[in-house]
Amino acid sequence: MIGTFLISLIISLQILATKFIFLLNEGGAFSKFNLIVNLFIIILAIAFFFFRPKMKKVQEILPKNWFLLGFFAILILITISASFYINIGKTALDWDAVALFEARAKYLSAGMKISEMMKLTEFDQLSNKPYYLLYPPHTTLVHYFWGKVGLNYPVSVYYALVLLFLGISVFSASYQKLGVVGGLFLTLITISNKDIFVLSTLEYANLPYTLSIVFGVFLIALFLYKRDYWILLFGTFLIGTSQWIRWLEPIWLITLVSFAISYFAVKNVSRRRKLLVVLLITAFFFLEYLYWGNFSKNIAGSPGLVKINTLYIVKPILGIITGNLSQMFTFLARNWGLYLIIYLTCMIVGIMNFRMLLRNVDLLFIFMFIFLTLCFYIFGIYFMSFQKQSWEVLSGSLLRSSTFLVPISGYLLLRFAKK
Amino acid sequence: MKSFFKTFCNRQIVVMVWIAFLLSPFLSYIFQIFSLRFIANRTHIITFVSFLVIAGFRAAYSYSHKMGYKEIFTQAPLIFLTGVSSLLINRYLVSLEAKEYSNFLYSNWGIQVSQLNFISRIAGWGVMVSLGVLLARSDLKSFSPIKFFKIQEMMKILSYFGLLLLSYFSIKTVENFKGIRGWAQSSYENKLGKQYRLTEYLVKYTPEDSKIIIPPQGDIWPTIGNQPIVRFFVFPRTLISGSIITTEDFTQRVGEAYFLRITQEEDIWPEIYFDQRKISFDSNNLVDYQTIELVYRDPTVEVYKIKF
Repeated sequence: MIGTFLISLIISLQILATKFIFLLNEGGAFSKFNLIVNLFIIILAIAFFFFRPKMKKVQEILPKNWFLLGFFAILILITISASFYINIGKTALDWDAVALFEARAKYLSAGMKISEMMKLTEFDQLSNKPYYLLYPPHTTLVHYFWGKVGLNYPVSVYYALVLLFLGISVFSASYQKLGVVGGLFLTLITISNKDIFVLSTLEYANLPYTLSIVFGVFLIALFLYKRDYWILLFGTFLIGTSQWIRWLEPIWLITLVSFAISYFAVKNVSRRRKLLVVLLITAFFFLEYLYWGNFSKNIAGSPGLVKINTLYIVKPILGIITGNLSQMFTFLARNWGLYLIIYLTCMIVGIMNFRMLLRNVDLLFIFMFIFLTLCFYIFGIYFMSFQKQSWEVLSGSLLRSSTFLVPISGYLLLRFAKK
Repeated sequence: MKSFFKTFCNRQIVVMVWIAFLLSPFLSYIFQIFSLRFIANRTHIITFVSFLVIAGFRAAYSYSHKMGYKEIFTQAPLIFLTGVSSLLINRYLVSLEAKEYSNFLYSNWGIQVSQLNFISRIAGWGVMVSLGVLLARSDLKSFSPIKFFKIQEMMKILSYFGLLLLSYFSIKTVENFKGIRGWAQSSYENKLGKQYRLTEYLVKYTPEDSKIIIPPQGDIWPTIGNQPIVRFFVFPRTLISGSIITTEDFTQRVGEAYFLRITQEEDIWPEIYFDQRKISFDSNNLVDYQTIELVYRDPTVEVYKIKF
């Protein structure tokens, strides 16, 4: 467990460091308050780790198949080395990095504040006005820090590091239940997945976001199995602060609902304690939501992506009858392709094994998470199709951000395959 | 008949035919030496069909002798190892062809790239299936045809199916690795389009505290009209989108600015009427200017300084 603790701590401190740079850059009482709450959670997690009650010794999980263990380990090393090799040799950044992430870092280095970047778009086309405040600054601050430290390698190498962290995280949070070989297999299919590997060669927010969500979800699932509060604290921290990396998708809300359902299904914990835990997590998630939300709204007047209006709700409901929903499903099948089959397989296998889900709340949590995420993508894109002309482009970009489902669905399938 | 099955449909024969299939490009070369062109061109198909037939017979034989299906899977490690080796060798050979010249493999060793690709695909599936079998080996001890049709067992198989599909995306990475690396390590010109070069003129021929007017964002000017992209390269210069220069009031606010006139593209931007001292940056509205000064000119672009 020390490995899981260390990797959780490193990733959390990295996120905390970017918030600290932001506070130095912007100031503000709300920033200070948010940083103190963040720091408090990490200190609490460390305290819970060192003062955790002595558990009876868990049986040693020794691998049975050394051939497969070695084989997977070598392939994992090759994949990560390949990502480092590609990123070290990069000479040009990719489109969104040039336009946004690295650009903001460049303007920060020139002495600008993020809140002042709205001035840059004073003479831009109307649609570009709030551009620099559409995304939270985590990735930008990493680029800024990378530039300040003066490393000889391009900033792209950071994304190879994130891939390495993703591999370690997936393994450290899954091997307890899957065994060493199963954990390595899941790690391999995660980091060598084409879409995840490609993300490790792009300087976008997607991979750091995937890391936060995947590790956060795995840690919460691990908590439901082990009931160690330091695991829950790190999991909550990572899911909450994922909004500091990407703010668009309410994956934190999906995690919260899935956790609440699963935690209330736990038998030997008092209802009061369950309620308290869920309320505290909700409060933290909302604090993180308001942190960037408020900042971008007050500074940029950033328009919400999906507007709420009676007409906007009535039209999609009528669309179910008039056939728009089927059109959207065709789009989803075309864009997600084989992934949709994998996720639907998870749903079928989960429903058919519902007794196992009820016996293992950690599995119930993972199942609910995948189910609610699928619902979010399907209905989110459906509702968006009534509001935006360019919904197909936007939806395509949304689907690209769903790579966190790869290891999570892989974990669920491995658990059912090994039962 | 029974002895025929026993002799020719045993596990070792199945694996040997599998290896023959993986080595079919080399067998094909031998057939070519003996001028057996018809067989040489189809060696991979012939060996693959033979493998399917013999493996099918073996499965039927195992089943009829109540050995269970698991018996056929005992050769999984061998299938796996040979499959991986074949994939690696094939990828290396294909990369050689790409590196040297088209038809390199055929002219030197009589190996056809289409055969290699076909074998790679089948070997990939062989690797995935045998890997699945290896992972599930402990479960296979209790694997029987009757259990196969139980819902729980079906769900287990469905889970393996899902995992196989997930593994497929890892094979895609290996398959597309060259393309992924090529794109990632390519230049700005490749990633942002050839219009990226135009930003270099702006950096070179305009002062850092100047204002720069760029074309409206859209399909015609995807890069040089994209304000966030251009701003990254020309910062700290102030950018003004041509699409918002529509009134005299606005041009008075701008006062003085620079712009780049692209003359080699199909669409020339902006439209300048030198005799009337009028200019259109948004292709719809004409605005007056006081003076216009050519700062730089080459056969493709001109950099101007304009005073409204």
